Amino acid sequence: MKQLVIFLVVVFLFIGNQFSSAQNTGSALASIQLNPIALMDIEPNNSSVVLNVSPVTEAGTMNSTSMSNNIKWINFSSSLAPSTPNRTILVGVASGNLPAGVRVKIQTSPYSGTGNGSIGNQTNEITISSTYQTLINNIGAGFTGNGINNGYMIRYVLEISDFRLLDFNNSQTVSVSYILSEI
Amino acid sequence: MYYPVQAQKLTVTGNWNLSINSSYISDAGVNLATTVLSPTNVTIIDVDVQPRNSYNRQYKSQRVLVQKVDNVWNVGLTLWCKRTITVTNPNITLGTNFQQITNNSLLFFNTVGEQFNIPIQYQLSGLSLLIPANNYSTTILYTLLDN
Repeated sequence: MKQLVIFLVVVFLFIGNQFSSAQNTGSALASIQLNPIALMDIEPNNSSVVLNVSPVTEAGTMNSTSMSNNIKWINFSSSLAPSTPNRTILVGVASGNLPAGVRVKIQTSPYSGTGNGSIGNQTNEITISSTYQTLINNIGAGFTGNGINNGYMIRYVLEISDFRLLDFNNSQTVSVSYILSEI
Repeated sequence: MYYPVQAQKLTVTGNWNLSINSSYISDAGVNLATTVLSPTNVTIIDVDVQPRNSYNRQYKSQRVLVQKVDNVWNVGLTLWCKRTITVTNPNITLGTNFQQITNNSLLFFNTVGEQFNIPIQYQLSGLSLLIPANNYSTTILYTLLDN
């Protein structure tokens, strides 16, 4: 009889322990993967820039150049992972050849606009070629603002490099490509 | 051998996994969308009662607190939660407007009786390109207390 009493006490403690283990907390995980971002475009659009060399109309004068639609703006958005190098915008001739006797320069103005962050430094002037050259460097995490008057204004300028090579029956289409470097 | 049976009072199900890429930028030159919403029922909370008798199942008053415990986080990011209303239930009160989840435990909502399948939505604010790209995570901790 004494053994039976002890057994009942043990069962009672067992039941009590079940109640005391009720769980009153729970959790969920919020996980956010922020990926590096590199996004660039040309504003107001990437329509063709037209550059002309006019023939001489008066003896003793030089040929003149004319340009239309030759101002564009570069906009970009960039983010970086820690300890990764800054980005660069490169420019070069992707296809086509310039007519003999001329060269095309890209003049880049300092940044202006409504952006924020580390948005780089421009190279003031580049003569374009099939070799890609740095137009803007030291781009970190930032954004330029959107549309014209935001970012880096670029101006295409046509120059005559050698009068003797000019051929006024010659017209060429050249495609210029901009690359925002990925990390 | 003794195996305790754990009586669940609070059950939380469902994590929010978010991947931010260039699709969260409307156009080149623009910052990231600063605010992102989760699905309206990304987390489901079940509030049970103990002892689980018929009175408690109908009348026991409890409250749910919420806080976050950061694993990897950035101070520029803020996380918010709210209870999504699917059907009006007078036995669940508060929590229907977004409130910031802080590192301190704060009241989220009150319940009367057992309440299952409570949908929770989150909002992430403060997103910016200026925040270093990385994998961030925080544990959202819910605590059930008797009123």
